[in-house]
Amino acid sequence: MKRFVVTLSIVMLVGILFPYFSILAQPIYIPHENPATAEDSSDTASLLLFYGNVFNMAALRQYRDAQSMLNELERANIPDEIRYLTSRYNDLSQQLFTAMNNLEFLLDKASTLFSENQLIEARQVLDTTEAAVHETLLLMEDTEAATDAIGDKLGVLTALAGSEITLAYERLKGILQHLRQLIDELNKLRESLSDNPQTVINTYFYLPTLLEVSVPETAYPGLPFTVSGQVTSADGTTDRLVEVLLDDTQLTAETVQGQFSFQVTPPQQVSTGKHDLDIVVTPQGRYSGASQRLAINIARFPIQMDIQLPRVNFFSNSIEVKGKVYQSLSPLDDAKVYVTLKQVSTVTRTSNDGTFTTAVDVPFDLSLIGPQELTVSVEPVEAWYASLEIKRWIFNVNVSNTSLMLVVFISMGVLIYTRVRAKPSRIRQEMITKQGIIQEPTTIRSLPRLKYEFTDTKGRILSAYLNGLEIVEKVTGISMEPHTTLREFLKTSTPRLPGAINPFTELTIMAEIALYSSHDPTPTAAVRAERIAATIKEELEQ
Amino acid sequence: MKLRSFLTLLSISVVIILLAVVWFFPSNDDFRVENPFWNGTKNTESMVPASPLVNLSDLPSSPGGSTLILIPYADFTQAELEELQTFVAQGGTLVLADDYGFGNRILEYLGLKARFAGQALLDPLFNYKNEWFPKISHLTPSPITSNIESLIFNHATCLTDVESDSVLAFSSSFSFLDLNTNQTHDENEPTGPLPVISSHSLGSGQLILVSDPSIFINSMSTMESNYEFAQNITAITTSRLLIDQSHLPPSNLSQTKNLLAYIRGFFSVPVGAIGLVVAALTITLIPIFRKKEGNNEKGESKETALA
Repeated sequence: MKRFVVTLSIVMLVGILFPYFSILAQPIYIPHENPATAEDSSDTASLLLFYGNVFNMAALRQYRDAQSMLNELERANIPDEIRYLTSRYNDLSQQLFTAMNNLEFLLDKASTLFSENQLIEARQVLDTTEAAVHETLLLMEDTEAATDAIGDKLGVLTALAGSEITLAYERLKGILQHLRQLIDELNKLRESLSDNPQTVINTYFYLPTLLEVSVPETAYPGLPFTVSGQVTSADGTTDRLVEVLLDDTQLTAETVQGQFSFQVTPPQQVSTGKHDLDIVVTPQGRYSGASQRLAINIARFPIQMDIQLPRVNFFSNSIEVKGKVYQSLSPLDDAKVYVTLKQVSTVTRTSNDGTFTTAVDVPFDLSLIGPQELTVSVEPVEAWYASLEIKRWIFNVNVSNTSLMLVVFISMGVLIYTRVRAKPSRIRQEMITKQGIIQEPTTIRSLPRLKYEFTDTKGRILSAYLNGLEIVEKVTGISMEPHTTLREFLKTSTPRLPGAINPFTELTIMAEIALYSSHDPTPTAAVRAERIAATIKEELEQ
Repeated sequence: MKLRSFLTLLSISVVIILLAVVWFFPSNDDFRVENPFWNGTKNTESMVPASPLVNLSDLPSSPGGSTLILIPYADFTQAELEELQTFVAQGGTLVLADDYGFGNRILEYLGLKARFAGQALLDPLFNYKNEWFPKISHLTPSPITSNIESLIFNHATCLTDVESDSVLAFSSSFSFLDLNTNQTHDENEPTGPLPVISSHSLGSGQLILVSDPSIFINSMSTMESNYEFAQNITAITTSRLLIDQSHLPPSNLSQTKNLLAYIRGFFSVPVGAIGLVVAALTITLIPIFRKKEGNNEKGESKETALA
């Protein structure tokens, strides 16, 4: 016992400490955190730094790149309370960059007109340029004011000098100052052009491009469809490269002039559902790029399949599956058909008329009787057809397992039956033991009878019965088993009794009354029982 | 009941209850396909869908068209590295998603220059919630990046020594590699755009490097275009899509689950099933044999007493 407790304690101790051993042996920290519970914090200094980069790009007269950078801010993590402000700030900045680009374009145009000696047109353009300068300066002032407002909102005024946000803000203000100087320089160029029409101006403006396009609402993988439209450049028609991309994957690239129409084919592996189709006119020289994003639905034609298979499988090790695959009544040939039952699967192909026949093995497992799911899936060769999967239930009777289980249950039944049979004799023995005081057995028998001493009236009757019983047993050679009732013994012994049948019957009834009646027997009955017992003795011992 | 019998019964009951709990309680291990919680990959596995691979020796012998997603958080044996090399060389696609694990061991073995940086990639501006969740929106057109607007990484790193034409995705220009782990950009730290996804041809196959395996976990799988990314991996797979489970750090729970699964698997094959039936029969019939022996012994002792 002591050893057992010690062993159990050691096992429990090892069980408790085991996880700590594995932690000690675990060198790698897995670095990821639950995004749902991650702290939401946005870096406002980074936002100001980013704006600084954007305006720096504009100060370098790279307006298109500056505008692209601003578009990126849509994806930035900006706190909701300043998102509206930044959105308006972005719009204002975009307008400023467009105005500056337009200003450069007008200056270039005026310069070209002067060089071509078209003085009247050149003067008209110069007048327009003056308005453009005025508009650009107004936008610049608005941008500076908005920058102050953003700085105020982000807490620049209350931040410590030299802090990250203060430095970022000061940098932004400095770059805006450069931008203002650039506008002033462009204005001076305009004035010098007005005073000296021969001035050659170096400009960095770009020319806008317009794009119109139409595509079908639905396309199918592997089947070509038509993309048509028109590219309009700012100062006339020129060769432009048009790219068509499906979810950023290039489908085709064609050089077009004005109107265009060409066929494109979606990839065979493309998934079904809504996709983005981008038609992009690439930038070329001073011509800006243009693009349109259209939603296109990628679909596959649905197919149908008829299957024939047994509903119940009794003894067979394989199940035969037949069927036909078709689309709008036209058979699908050479389509791959997979039939899977649990982990076992088989594959076949449809014939020219769309039919197929195959057999799948029934896998070995521990199941006895029950339904099993059979899956039949079809993969057509043509990418524009959808694949199809059908599931059916087959009622399977596993004969071998059922037999094995029957053996187990029968064995258990035998065991339980044996135990149930053995129990009552023990109980009866225990009950009789409680009736009186045990005396030593007088004789040795197959089942030794116990001797009792009875004192009251009931006891006298039972004692008389036992005396009679002893003689009857001796005469008939039948001993009363512990499980035998008085009445059963009477029935068994009577045929062998040479006489005294009636007295023994009466004595048995009296003993039954004494044993089971709720009323106590009278002393007269006891005397009568003793007399009967004596009568039996006399009759049988003669 | 004796104390000894009581303790034995109690121990057996506790073991059975613990085994039942282990069997039915879902795994909570990182990247495990059985794990339905935030850090598992059950959703991805079911959405894609991918088959879990418990041993690299079970890789398909004809890997053409097959894809293996590998999260290398445990070291590799020489034999395993050879298995991977054969898989890729013979036409398989290996998606190696790593940040701080053993990915560089594989790259070194395969003879590639590219490496996982092994330091945190932070993006203070273009992110989800905070700088540890960088938003990846600079993508190069390719089948792997198609239909993707942007991806969200979770405690990622970046790739180094990758040729520009191999890069499929860059972090934003505002991101940086936090070399000294102070979570602030310092002058000597590389700034974005930094490569985070790249594609390399190897033999007849392809190797795709992703600098964050957490993109596949349940809580990240539906963020931005992360789901589409997993879908694209499915789209380039014409045969089997596998997700390796053999190089994830095993917890006690998963080890015990594996053991139980192994035992269950053993009993589902003919030899095991027959063994189980024989054991059941033996246990059932032992009391009968004992009773018979007992009866025989009793008979012998009675005879001795009468004599």
